[in-house]
Amino acid sequence: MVLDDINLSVARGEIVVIVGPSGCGKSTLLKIVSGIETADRGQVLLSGRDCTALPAYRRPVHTVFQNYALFPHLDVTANVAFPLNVAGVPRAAGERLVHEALGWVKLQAHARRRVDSLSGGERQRVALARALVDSPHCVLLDEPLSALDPHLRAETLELLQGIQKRLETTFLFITHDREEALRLGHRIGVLNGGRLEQVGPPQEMYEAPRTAFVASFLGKINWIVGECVHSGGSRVFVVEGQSVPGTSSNGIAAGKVQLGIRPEDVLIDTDGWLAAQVIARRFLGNCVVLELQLASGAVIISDCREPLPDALPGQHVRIRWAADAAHLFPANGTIST
Amino acid sequence: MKQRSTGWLAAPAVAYLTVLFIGPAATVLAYSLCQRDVYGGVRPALSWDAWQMAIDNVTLRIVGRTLLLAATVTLASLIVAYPCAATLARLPRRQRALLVLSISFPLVTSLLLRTYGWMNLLPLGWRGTLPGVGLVLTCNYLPFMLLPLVKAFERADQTLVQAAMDLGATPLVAFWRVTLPITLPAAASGAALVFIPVSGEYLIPHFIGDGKVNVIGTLVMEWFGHRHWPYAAACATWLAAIILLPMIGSLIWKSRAETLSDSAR
Repeated sequence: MVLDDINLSVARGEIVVIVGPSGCGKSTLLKIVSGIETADRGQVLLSGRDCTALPAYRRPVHTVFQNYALFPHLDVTANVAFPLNVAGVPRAAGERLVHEALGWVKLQAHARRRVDSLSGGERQRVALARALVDSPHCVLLDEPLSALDPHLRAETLELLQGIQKRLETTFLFITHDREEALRLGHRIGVLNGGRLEQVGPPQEMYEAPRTAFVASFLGKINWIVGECVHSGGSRVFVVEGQSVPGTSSNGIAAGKVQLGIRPEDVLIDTDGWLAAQVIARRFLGNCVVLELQLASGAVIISDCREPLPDALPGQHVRIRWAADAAHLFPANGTIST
Repeated sequence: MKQRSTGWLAAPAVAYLTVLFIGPAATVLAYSLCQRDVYGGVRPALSWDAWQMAIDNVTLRIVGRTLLLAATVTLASLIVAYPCAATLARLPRRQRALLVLSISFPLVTSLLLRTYGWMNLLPLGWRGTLPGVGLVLTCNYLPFMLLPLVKAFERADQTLVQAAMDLGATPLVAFWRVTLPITLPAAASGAALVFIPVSGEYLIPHFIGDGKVNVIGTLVMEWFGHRHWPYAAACATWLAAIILLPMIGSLIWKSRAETLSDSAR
């Protein structure tokens, strides 16, 4: 089974980004919404209308494909005009809409070019204009930036955001790139093994991940194995032989736990709870990255904002973290970093 | 830096074409305008006899039959190859490569052997008939239609059809507006690859036709054998004209279409 128990609703004018590793079912989800594939069970509703049984060409959604899927025998204008032509929009009105759409993506100058003479970024924008030209209810974007180089990616991302804000089109966007997801999404859904693990605003997802997978997928994180001990009605977490505070432990059972602490939350402090030895130090300008080895041999990473001139390789330091910075999960789940 | 001229690289090809193609073609044309020599060969004296024979009813009927046969074979192979190529292009890469290889495999066996094979395969009633010759010709030239079409269908891949449907085209409209325009140039070049050799084909009409199916190819062969070289040469010129004229026409049309689309940019 590629997808299981997906329950997702996207509000009008919202950007929802589905993010997950390759093979998690992202593309399948998009194809089910667009109608290219059908689900074995379940419903697809668009603007309240049940579209489950409708073929792709009857659904008011368009897709921006990963490889753009531009028609090689048509020029830029004819590509963008395609959805209007098949819908039988009158010529004059169609030309106006195409001109407008090419304006959104800044391609008026290339209106008569052949698509195979365009660069990757320009093709991407043609595909975008083509998907937006007849103002569909929802535009599905299948990793639209993954084939672009990083510089162009940032630029296109901004262009996308600008267009979406202006047109208030609903975007369902899928990607495997967490930064893209965090930057673009009004809400993010993390898909893993065909299941939506959590859906929410980017900041909430980053700060309060509900599963270990979400925590490690949305950003770098250190995992420390520990134990949860129930002592006299309250819970105590023991790591490396030390009891440490931990919140967000809603209903976590006694037993082995894993604590996830993001590198930027690891603090070097003489009053710290755990002893550690600096094994490597990298200066990155805006932060210092320290590799720290705990007494158990586990290595954790710390991104320090302060210069910390004393934390040199070989030095012994003590570390701690803010009580609410530790993300706690039962340790039986698989840890992926 | 001045770019060095590379035109001289074409010299061997030009020399080759002049000596081995234009020269003989001119000779054939010249022969058709000569007088017949009783013992074969030609007498170097201008004469229109051969061309008067070559535009008589018998010859024109054979020319017409040849054209009809070549056109029918081209159409038949297009009809067979088009859906076949569409299906092949959808197959996984390995299977497709294997099938394309097996389709082109007959091309590496001798034409004579294959034709003898067909003489045994064909029901007796079909031997010596135009449809029989057409059938064997179609089977023989099918790969030339199929291979360019498979390439074109790979280009018109499934994601383009999906994109068309995603953008609102019904399957029929998607075919009409996407698949067909992308595969049409390949169908045209496939048609040329079948039509041109079939209209000059000698061996298959000779063996399958049992001497009862006359096309230009057999005619030329026959009259060289009957020692009327000027007439045979005139028929050969007919054949060349039939093949060359549409080609020149399509070249002119193509270059004009290209200049049009260039100036539109």
